[in-house]
Amino acid sequence: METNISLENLNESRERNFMERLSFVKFWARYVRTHSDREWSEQQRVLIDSQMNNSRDFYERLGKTKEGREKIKSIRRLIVNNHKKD
Amino acid sequence: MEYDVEKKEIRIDKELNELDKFTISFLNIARDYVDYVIVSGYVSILLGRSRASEDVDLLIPPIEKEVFVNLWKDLESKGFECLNTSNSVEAFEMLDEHAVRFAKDLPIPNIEFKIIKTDIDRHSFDNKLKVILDEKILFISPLETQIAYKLYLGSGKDLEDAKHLYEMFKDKINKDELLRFINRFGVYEKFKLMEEYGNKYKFREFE
Repeated sequence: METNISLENLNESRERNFMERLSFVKFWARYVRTHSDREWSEQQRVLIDSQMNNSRDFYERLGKTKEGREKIKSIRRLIVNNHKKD
Repeated sequence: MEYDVEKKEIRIDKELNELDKFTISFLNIARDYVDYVIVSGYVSILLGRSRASEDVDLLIPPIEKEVFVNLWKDLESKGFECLNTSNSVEAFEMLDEHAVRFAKDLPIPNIEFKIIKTDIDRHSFDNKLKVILDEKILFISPLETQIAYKLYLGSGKDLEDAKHLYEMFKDKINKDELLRFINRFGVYEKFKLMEEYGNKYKFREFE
């Protein structure tokens, strides 16, 4: 079955999503301004630490095989080369 | 969080996350060898933005080869490694062309270590703000430059970073200075859009 995709609808949706993101950023900034550093930073810590732990777990699992270790080397090259293009 | 404009100081009593600890551990070593300023995404994160980052960008003034090699040895002895090369002299030579990256154990997160090249880099370095985290001190780019530069970069993530800093400090930032950079980078329309779009959707007030 063929799906009709309207580019116009897609663009509107993208713009709406961006407005929502910016509205949330404003909401969160207000939260940070009106709450103690300990309160907002505890939430930030949970978010950032969980992402970093996921990343660490991913690399640890990958590093258990020879193929995985090769992939880690490729990722390192990718990080370095992507930057050179900036 | 308190921003003392006169002293160019921001005090934060925050719970440190892994990215903060990683950055501080690198700077605890690097500060004995070079002055620096932190720029780009980590500035917003340090100041409360709700996102993580793969890297932390540092700008440093031109550095002597011997100083760099000594820094390298110190970093290596404390578990950091360069993602670009395992040769310190080669890394030093790379600095002329592009940044070099240092990580600890894994490629992410990493520190992007870059020599000051443009007048905007120089302005950020010369006008850096001191951030005091408990007893730790970090230096970050001035907020006006940071907001305008993020608007100039222009991805969704960059505009959100700019929005966060603007909303956090709009009562204290130097508006003339901000507009000067916004006009210089040719991003006035993006600035207006950032303001307009952030007001489109309602969120509840805090009690």
